[in-house]
Amino acid sequence: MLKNRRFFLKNFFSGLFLLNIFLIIPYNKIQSQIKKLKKKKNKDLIWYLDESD
Amino acid sequence: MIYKFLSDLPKKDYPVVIFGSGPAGISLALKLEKKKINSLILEAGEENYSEKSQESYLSNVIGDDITDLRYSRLRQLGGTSGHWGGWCKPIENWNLKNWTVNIDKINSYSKEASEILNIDLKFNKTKINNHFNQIQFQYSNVRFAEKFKDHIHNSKYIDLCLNSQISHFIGEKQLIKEAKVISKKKVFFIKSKFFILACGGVENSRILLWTKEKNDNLINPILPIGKYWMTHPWFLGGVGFLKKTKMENMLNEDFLKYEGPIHFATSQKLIEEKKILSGAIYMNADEDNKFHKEIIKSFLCVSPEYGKKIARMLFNKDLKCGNIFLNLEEAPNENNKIVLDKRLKDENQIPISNIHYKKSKKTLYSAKIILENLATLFIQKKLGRVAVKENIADLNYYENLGVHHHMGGTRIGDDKNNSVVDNNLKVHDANNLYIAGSSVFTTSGYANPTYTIVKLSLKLGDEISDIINKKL
Repeated sequence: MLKNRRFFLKNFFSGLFLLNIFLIIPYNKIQSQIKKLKKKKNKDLIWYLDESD
Repeated sequence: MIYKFLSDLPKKDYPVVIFGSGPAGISLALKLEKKKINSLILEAGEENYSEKSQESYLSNVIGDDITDLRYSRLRQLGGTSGHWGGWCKPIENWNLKNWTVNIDKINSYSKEASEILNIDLKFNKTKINNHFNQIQFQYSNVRFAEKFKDHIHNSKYIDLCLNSQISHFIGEKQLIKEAKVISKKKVFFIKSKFFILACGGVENSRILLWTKEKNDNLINPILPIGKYWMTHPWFLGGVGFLKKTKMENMLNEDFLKYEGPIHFATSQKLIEEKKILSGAIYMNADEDNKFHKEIIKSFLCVSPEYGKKIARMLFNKDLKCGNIFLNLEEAPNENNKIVLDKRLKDENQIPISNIHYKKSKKTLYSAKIILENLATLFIQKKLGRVAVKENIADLNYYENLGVHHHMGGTRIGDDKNNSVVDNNLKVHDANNLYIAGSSVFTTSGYANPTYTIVKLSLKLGDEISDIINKKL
């Protein structure tokens, strides 16, 4: 039972790790590439900003 | 020798007569001197600045605002080089693609031109991304009158006469026989084998138009004299800040280090992709702290967190922060033209010029696209931020900060319907009349014109000496 639980946890976390590598990181990268420019007006100027600004 | 009036000139027989003593005229005379060919330069102005002489540039502008010619041109020995800014840059080869002249041939005079202008032959360019390059100008300190006055005075081959205004050329059957010149209110008729008009970006068209009116069959009536006149709109496009060290690190050894503003220029790819005109961007390096603070304040309003970080950087002086100016190419337009006024004449009874000029929407649209792409570059490469003037593309809000470059009017080409001179700068269907100066530019590019003017004059000098030597 304990062995099975360890096996399950091991697989669960390594799965998460793989998910992280194959899905989350590339997804973030793609997200940063398709970020749209924000535009904000101050007086008669339009500032072009990053989403994180 | 230099003479004050045409009546002082002992000799009147020169194989080449050049009208105008600016960079175009003097460079040509220097080239002919090297080939041991005599030339006479006739300068309409005096040796030094004179308000009376400047009045000859009186003209009407019909359409949009341009700087008064009386302030942007100089009618004196050395021409407008007497107060020019000195910025030199070759026109990009891809900006010359509509020119029918061989580009390599023009560029073969680069070294000789740089010696005349006292500049280094270093016009480095560093690619920042596919859309922008960092570019390098060279600064010339040459005032042609100061540099070459003594040389001309002592020259065996060059004579120069001041206070001698050309009115028009006289001739028939495609051959110029003489030029009517007015000096100290007296009329002279100067004969020569070769006549070269080098009076500047407006005057060349004016004299040629007046010649056309005064002669029935001398100038081909289909030539578009005065048309396709262009300037470089120079205006404020926005503000911004740039992390200088970040840019230096990004470009490593290729970063172009020089004093003054940072210069960017559009790449061929950007103008082709977006179908816009090319432009140079001057990011001011003004060390005015008050103005820096204004810009950072404006940025803090839109991005308080990042703005605080940027504000801290002001203290370690790593920011290039200030106005962003644009020097833009203008598309040749047949309706932008120089014509003769029907009523008003100058003191020598030559009609004054009327300049019909309208800015195009495409020019201002190009400015908007260029700055938007620069803003994207700054964000992607984490170089800084750019703010663009809200009404940048609106013709009603355009503010002319000075239009001093006058190009076109007698442009180069093969087709007589849209050009006035051929590849050798000879007026189509006129056997011995040539034009030197920026009026021959087919397109303007974004680069300041003087360096190209000098190169074209040197090329013309070789053409003329080849013809003279063949005849001998």
